[in-house]
Amino acid sequence: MTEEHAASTLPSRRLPSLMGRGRLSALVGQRTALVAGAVMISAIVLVSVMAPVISPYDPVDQDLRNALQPPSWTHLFGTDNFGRDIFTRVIYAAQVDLRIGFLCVFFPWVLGTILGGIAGYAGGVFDTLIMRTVDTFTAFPFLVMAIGVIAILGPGVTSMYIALTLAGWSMYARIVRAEVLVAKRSEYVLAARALGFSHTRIMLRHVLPNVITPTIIFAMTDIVLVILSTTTLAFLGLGLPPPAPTWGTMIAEGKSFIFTAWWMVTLPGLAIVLVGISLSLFGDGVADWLRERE
Amino acid sequence: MTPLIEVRGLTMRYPIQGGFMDGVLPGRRRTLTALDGVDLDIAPGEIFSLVGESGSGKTTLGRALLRLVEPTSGEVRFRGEDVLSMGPARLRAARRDLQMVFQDPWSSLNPRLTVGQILGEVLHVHDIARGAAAKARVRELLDLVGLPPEAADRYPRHFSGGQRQRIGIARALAVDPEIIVADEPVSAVDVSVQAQIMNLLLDLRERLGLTLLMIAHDLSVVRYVSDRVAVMYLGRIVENAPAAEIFANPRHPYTRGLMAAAPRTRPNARRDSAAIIGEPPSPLSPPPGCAFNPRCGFADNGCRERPPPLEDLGGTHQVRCFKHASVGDPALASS
Repeated sequence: MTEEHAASTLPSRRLPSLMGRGRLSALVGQRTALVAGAVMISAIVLVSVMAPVISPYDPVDQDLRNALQPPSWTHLFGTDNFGRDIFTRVIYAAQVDLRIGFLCVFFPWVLGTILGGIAGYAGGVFDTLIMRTVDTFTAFPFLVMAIGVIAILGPGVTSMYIALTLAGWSMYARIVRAEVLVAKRSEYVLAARALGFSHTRIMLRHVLPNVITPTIIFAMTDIVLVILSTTTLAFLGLGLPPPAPTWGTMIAEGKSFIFTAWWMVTLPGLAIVLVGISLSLFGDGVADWLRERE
Repeated sequence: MTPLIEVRGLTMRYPIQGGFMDGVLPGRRRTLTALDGVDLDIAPGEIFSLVGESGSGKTTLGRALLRLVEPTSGEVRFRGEDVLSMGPARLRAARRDLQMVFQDPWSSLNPRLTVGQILGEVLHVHDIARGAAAKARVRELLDLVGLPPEAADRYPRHFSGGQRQRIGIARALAVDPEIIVADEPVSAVDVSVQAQIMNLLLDLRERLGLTLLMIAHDLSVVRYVSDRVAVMYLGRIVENAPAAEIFANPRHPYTRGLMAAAPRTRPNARRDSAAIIGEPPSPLSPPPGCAFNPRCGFADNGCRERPPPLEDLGGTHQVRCFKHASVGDPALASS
């Protein structure tokens, strides 16, 4: 028995710390997507938060004398049929749209993870009940279900959260359950049981941390779809009621003027495209990074 | 001496999920018998080896002793107390005495926790030590298994297979158990490290007065360390004897076959004719009579009709074979 031998073959710790300077430069080199996405999203968030400082106009007040002005130096994105500055409305709308988009991924992620975790870990009747419910929910097309729920609850932000949570949770439940089934049979979970750990401890400390990564990877690709869905719902008049600006409602209002005032529809649309691209870059970057780390 | 562990008639059957109509159509529900009426005694301080091919039920038996799986019927007694009827609180306390070392060091450690956290959690949950005392105990445990104190701050991925197996052993030792079930503790590590791990277990048994149930799939691993060896085949113990006796005088054709199958140090030595033919049958449809008969060179019609009982050969040597006299006959052994 050579204790010295066991000690000498320990590999030295070579990985730089996550917070270190070396890590960031490595990211810039290898993970252009992640960095570009993060920079773009930060810029969008910053501009929307700073909206009152950046823009001299109010997003809601009407100025009918200046209605339907094309883009110019005074009105960068032009004005709408009520004379409101479209650039101002676009950057104020970003606050609302990003928050709704983020929460509409977050809530289903939480709900799906909890229910999928219970189904996988507890098994039996819980598993059957939860997974048959998942099947039922998965059978509905995403937007059809969302529209149906909002139609029942009435339009508004809360309805939107509920609708998109109900429409989106089932995928997360499926992913988590499958991962939990694998983790549950792993020897480290058996070891935890052999050591007399409680089910809560095993679930929270041993199973959950080892099954969560794939759901985050999925959430990262899901977020673009969800943001587009929320703007679609707003476009259909199921989001925030006017005059509060959101990109979807702005496009809906502008569609009657598409031939006379193209900027009313096109420029909020471009904002959605920009957010979509930055989230795709960021989400792919994060997903790749997590996959690599696994 | 009263045994530390007594197992009586331990049976474990799993229902098999077949096609979706199997539960409805009569006679189509099938069960897999992983353990079939297993009896054994483990004396305090001994190294008891359980040997058999994959699917023989040896892992299930090890897990059933700790109630990681719930047996269908039978009895497991630890120091005379029935393990299978323990309530949750009693079972949790009993787990401080009954521990397990797992087969695969790559999956038996939670990859998200440092070694210090893995060991510290055990001390915390069982209220053994906290804070600075826990840190000191972790260092002590690492030292016990031959790892440096710095290992506590690293994650399992920073270690080799052999080192991970040492961590798994340290985790089992954290509760200061009486008996450790080691489920093929060296089958997944490099050959060069196997002897080190076996020596560590032997050394720990000396120093801590442990009892070991060593599960292995070939006899060569346990040959020089065991006090007693039981051989399993398709969920049953087919031979059970003191180690010296079973190696000198194997009386079940399967035991002899396993010995013949072990790699030999003198390749030119005469081969035992008892080498096993073919693969083990499916435990879903075991052959009638003795489960070993299709692969046995000694089998006759009687073996194909009735299952043999476990016979006592005197001393503490038991064998489940009608032909044990011919198997043990030196004149026939090399025919």
